[in-house]
Amino acid sequence: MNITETVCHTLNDNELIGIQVSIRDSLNEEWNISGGAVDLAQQVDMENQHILRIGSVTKIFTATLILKLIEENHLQLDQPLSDFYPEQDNIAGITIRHLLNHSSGIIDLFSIPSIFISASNFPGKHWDPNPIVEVCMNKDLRFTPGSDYSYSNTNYLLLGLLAEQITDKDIDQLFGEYILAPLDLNSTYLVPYMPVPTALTNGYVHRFALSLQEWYVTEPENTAWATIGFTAGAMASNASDLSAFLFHLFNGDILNETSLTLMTTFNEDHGFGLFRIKVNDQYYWGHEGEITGFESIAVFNPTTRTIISICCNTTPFKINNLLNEIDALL
Amino acid sequence: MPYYSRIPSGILSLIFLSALSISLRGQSVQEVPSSRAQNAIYGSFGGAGLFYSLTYERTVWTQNTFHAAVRGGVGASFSSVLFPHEFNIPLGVSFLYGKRKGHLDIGLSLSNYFLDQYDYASDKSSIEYRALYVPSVAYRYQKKDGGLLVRAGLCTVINPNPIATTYVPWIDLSLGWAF
Repeated sequence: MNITETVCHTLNDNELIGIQVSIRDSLNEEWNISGGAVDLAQQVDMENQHILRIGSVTKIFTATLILKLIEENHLQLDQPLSDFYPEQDNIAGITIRHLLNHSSGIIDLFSIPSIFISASNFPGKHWDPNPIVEVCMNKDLRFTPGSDYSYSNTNYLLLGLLAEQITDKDIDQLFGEYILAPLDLNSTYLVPYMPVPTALTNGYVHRFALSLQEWYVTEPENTAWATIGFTAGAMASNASDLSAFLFHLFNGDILNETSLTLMTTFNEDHGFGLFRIKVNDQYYWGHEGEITGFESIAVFNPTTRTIISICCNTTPFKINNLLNEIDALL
Repeated sequence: MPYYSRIPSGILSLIFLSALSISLRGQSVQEVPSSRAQNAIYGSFGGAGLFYSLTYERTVWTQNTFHAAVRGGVGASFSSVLFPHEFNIPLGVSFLYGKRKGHLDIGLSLSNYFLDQYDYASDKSSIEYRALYVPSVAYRYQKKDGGLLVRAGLCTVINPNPIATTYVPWIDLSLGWAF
């Protein structure tokens, strides 16, 4: 079976609505595969240029932006978070490094039930990230900063807010200036902070926990989940742009060697905005993303320098299984 | 601005209460016996108030073991930091069935919800109106002559908005006093 047939089988076997796959080799040769549809009625075919929400894959972009700001001396890696939130008592000992590698101990915003309930009831709500991080920072830390690991979206909301504070620029402008425009990533947006692209597709959750309907639909106008996610999960892109981004990132086109080394120095399997992900018998570097109705992954193989990106508009979907199958065929 | 935010809250509430009133007038209304507690005040978690709410209820019709009551209240959200200006005004009706202390309580509420919206571009918040429909079913402990009132049940919060109508199952817990 070849990769196209594997993607088709995955689409059918998992009852996915639509999917995109992009593969790039070390010479920047690219293969794109799209299948299924952008809508439940299967009226519009999924194409390579369609745009899907990528959830936590956003964190690779955010970590890159922060490292870029560190390169420019806007910020120091071991600078205390309390420099920016002097009124907060609970955050002593937390540094930018701890936020980047999820060792801060700050609770995850999605552990607060009222956020989840309100976002489910009011999909059009546009959230302010400031009170969200304030509430999370007011809770007791899960552990002494730096002593343990706990994945928390709040870390990456804080990084986005700090980037705005130290540069006095909006986050959409920063992503545009430092990453999207220089790399010509024309299908990548931080929505809804950037204008919502017309190619943005619906996302579908089968049997969503808090819905009585068979399908919970996240339409382009849904601002609740993305604005809660902010710099931890608001981005929308496509598989092709994600592969291009990873190619340039690991080719040293954005960050200098020191920053790239920092980003890919893994503590167990955790880097800055990256995870070391075991695929078959080798490790890739990348991040998985899930946001209501969308599943995605973007990974780089440091040995073969191959990049695989997958974007899908259906959850739940065990995207790593497809990643394993594609890797086995390369 | 979404179309539903332009519908004045008073109009929807008026339609809802008028329909209730017409429906009750169509019945053979029997005056509530004076020995039965006609009023109740209770605090709730969940239900039409979504998070916390305080409700006044008055029994308006009774026939043997069936009773109907109208209710209105005010609700507020969990966190004043996360939801600094959000509040709601739940209005509704309860249909009770029960002979002694235990009742089956079937309710329908219109939750007039005022949602705190943040505009990133201008860094300002504004208030938008939403109407939520909240059918509920609960067990209710309440003696005939009043006293302690306890409700525990489930409801569905229906948000009929043009982005995607949501149906969110939710709890409905109340503690109060009937008199």
